[in-house]
This record gives sequence, C-alpha cells and structure tokens, in this order.
Amino acid sequence: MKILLVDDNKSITNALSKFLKFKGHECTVVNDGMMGLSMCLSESFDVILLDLAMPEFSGKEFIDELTKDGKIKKQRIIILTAMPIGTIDIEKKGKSGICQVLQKPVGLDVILKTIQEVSIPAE
Amino acid sequence: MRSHPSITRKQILFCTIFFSLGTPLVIVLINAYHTEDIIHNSQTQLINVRSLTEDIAFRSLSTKDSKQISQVIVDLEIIKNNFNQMEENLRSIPNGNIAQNSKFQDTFTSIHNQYISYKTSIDLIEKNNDPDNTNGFSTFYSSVNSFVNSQNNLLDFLETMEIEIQNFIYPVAIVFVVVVVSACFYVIFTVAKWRTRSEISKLESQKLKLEKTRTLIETKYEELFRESEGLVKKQLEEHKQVEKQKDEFMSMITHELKTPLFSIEAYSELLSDSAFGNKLSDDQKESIEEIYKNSKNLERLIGDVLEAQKIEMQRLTFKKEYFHVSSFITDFAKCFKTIMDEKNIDFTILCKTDLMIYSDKERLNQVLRNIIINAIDFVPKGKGKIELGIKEQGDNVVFYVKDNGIGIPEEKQDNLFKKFYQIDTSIKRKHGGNGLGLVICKGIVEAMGGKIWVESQSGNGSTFYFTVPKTKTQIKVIESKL
Repeated sequence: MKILLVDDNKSITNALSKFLKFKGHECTVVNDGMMGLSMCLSESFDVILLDLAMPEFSGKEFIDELTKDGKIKKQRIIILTAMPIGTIDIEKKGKSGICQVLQKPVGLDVILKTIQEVSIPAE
Repeated sequence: MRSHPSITRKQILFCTIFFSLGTPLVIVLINAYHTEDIIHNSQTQLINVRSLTEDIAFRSLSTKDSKQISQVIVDLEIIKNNFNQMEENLRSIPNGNIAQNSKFQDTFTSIHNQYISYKTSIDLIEKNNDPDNTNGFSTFYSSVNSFVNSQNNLLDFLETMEIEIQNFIYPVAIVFVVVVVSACFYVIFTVAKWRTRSEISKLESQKLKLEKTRTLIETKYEELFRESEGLVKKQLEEHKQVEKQKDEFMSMITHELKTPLFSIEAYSELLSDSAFGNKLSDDQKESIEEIYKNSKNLERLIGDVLEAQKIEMQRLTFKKEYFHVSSFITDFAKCFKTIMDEKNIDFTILCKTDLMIYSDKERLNQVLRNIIINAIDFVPKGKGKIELGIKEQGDNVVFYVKDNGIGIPEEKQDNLFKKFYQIDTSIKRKHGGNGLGLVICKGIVEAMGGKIWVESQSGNGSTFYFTVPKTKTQIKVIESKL
C-alpha cells in the first residue's frame, strides 16, 4: 500500500515509517505541509497520514488546498494529531476524504488497523 | 419656595360689604340700646316719683300739719327736679322721635300743668296755714289724683315706647348676628383657604425638589448603567479572551506533551517487538517495558488533568442513548475479567434490574472504571473481593462497588473527592494514582444529574455509590469545587 506520511516531527515520522515499511507498505515521509501537498499532487497515494499542527503550512491548509479542485476524490486521509478532538476545526469531513481522526499517542497496531480499514487500492 | 397668600378682589368686596352693613347696624343697635336704657331708667325714676307723690299725699292727709306741709314742699322740689331731669334725658334720645311725639308732649304738658296745680294747692294750704281749710285740701287731693294720673299716662307711654324699641332691636340684632356669623365663616374659610394654599405651595415646592432629585438620580443611574454596561461588556470580552487563551494554552500543552509521548511509545513498541528482529536481553526488554509503562502513566495523567480541567470549566460533553443496564454491566465486567483472574480477586456482579436507561455509556464506563481500578489497588493480595452492583432507587439507578480493602477513615472521606487528595502520601507511593480519578467521577456524575458518595470504615473495606437518573434529565451545569 502506498502511504504518504506528513508530520513535522521527525522522531514520529522515523518511527512510523520504520514500522509501516516493516509491515510491507511503501511509505513516503515528508516533514513539511507544503512539500506534502506538492507530493500529493504529483503522485497518487492510497492513504495519507497527516498531522494537523505543523508550522508554516498546517494540516488544515493542506486539506483545504487539496480539496479545492476536487483532486482528492479517491485518496483517504487519516489525521494523526495531538490536539484535543473537540478543538479540531475541519468542516468538510465527509467530502474531503478524511476517514479517521486518531489522537496521539496511539498504538502502532491501532494505526495499522485503521490504515487497513480505510484504504482502497490506488489506480 | 414658600409663597405668601395675597388678598383678592373678592375679599376686598366682602370686607366693604361687611363694614357697610355692619357699621350702621352697630350704630343703630347702640342707639336703640341707649334709648331703651334711658326709657327704662325713666320708668324706674317715674315709679319712684309716683311713690313719692303718693307718699306726700298720704302724709298731708294724715297730719294736716303746716310743718309737714313744709316738708312736702321740699319733696315737691325733688319731684320737680326729677321730672326736669327725666324730660331732659328723654329729649336727649337721638333722632328726636320721642321728643317730637305728640303724646309725649301732651303727657309732659299735662304733668307740668298738674304739677303747677298741685304746687298751687300746696302753696295755698301753706299760706292759709289752716289745717281745717277744707277747700284747700279738696283742691289738693284733686291735684294729687290728676298728677298721679298724668304720671301713669307717662308710664304707659314709656312702656309702649320700650316695647316698640325692643321690637325694633330684635330683628336688627338677628340681622347683625347673621352678618357677624357670616363674616366669621368667611374669615375661617379664607384662613383655611390661605392655609391650604400655603400647604399646596409647600407641597409643590417639595414636589419640585423631589423632581429635581429624581432627575438627578435618573441621570446618575443612566450614567452608572452605561458605565456598568461598558464594564460588563469589557469584562465579558476579557473573560472570553481569557477563556480563549485558556483553550489555546490547554491545546498547546496537550499537543506539546502528547507529541513526544507518541514518539516514546512508538519507539518502545518497535524495540520491544521481536518481530522487528531486535535481539534484546531480558533486562533490556524489562527496561523498555518500564519506559512504555511510565509513558502510559504519563498519558493517563495528562488525560485526567484535561478531563478535570473540562469539569472545572463546565465543558463536559455527553452522548446519551437508551440502553439496558444489565447488558452494559455485563460488557463492562468482561473487560476486567482478565485482571481480576490475574490478581485472584473474587469479582461478583449483582444486577437486580433489567431497566433501560437514558444515559452516556462512555461516561458511566469512565466512572465505574476509575472506582474499580481503585478497588483493585486496595484489596488484599490473593484474598481480594469486589462486588459490582446495580439497583433501582426511585427515579435513579444506583451503581455500587464494594471491596474488602483497607477502608477509609471517616474523617478523611469528605476529602476523597477533592483535587489531588491522597489519604496518605505513602499510599500514593504504594498504589499509584494521581488524586484526580474520584474528582473526575464526581464531576461526571453530578453533571449527569446524580450524586456520588462513599461508605467505609477503616480496615473494613469501602463501598462507593453513585446514582444516575433513569430517564431524560437536563444535564446540570455544576460548579465543581475541585
């Protein structure tokens, strides 16, 4: 499965990419929201694991930009955030392709399970 | 401001009328009384004169003595003087009605004539000095009779005059009394009116003052209201700002604490999982497990602090639904079966109802889990007993967790539900816990409309109870004193 991992915390992306690669997934790591968006527009991913609180270009801006032109029709986004659930201000939950919101810290097995649940094969 | 009453035209007119009527009436009345007085005195005088005349006649008749006759002459002088004085008095009566009266004149003329005749007869007797002078005495007696008759006529006339004057005085006096009484009433009425006006004026002055004061108060009130309104708005804004800052702070703290925790837990999982090809010694594995365990403890503490904060800020949210308490409690108990078995705890469920209630499963689970975990911590190792029960009580469902742990001294039970309270710091070291579990339980239960309490004795175990309403109730906003 082709997974894009967008998080500014390198420690987290290292651990997750190691884990996901070990589990047999193709994992691309980006530590910047803007770069993640570019990557997402240039390549196709089955699942995007996205952090919300990132400097310069936040996860919310990422989603807004990605959904603006209807490009995210088939991609699935799992938000992985340490922010309290009640404070997450994302309105287009259904349309934007967000399938789950997981709150850090979360077990690796839970992340894996969620990826399997939400993913669909890329074209 | 006090205004003095002024004299009106009406009052001046009344005074003029009163004095125009009253003054002649008074003069007329005084004259009438004076006349009546003179007539009355004249009557008295005339009666005395008549007595004296009759006395002279009697004495002359009885004595026929010339010496006595001399005395009679003296007396006659007195009578004459009396008559002159009487006539003078009567003639002095104002307006001269009496003096000009023909009867009065005739009577006095007759009296004068009779007096002269009387005097002549006496003089004759005296000159002759003859007591046996029969003719002289005969004339004398005749004169006396005529004189007395004339006096009687005058007396009759005076009586008639007195009656006439009295008849005149009474109506005039009545009119005068009426005028005086009317004047008195008018004066009383005017004074009362003046006083009323004065009172009205005083009241108006007070009213004016009060109105000024009221206006002043209203102005001040409006000023104060505007000021306080502005202050309240400002405070609300500040409060909102503080709330927003609090929220931002909590979000930031949560984010900054949980992000590194995620890294620690993720790496611990990676290291401890042999599937990743890690070849670690038992000590190393144990160390990583400790890291992971403590990281989980820290995660729980952060979660509890945030939950307590939500309770304090009255921001707990609830997701209520209908469910059977029996199936809920069975599912709940299943989650603890493994740990109970591991710790060899006799765990029993007593559900005396199959009621369907409207409540928040997750929150109930949270409360029960906290209480059960505490019970597990405090029951004696290998001999622990925990009983989880549910029963109905009026409009509520009562949940209870009974253990055979160390119990809680009565004096310390009230503090159990206070923030960060531990009965004994040594207990904390032995059993763990952050002192927030029961605070969160209390906040959740009270916000759902129930109550929570404990019954315990030191050394004899504890029973924690809490109630939740069976049906829909408005979620209370509780000011939690944490």
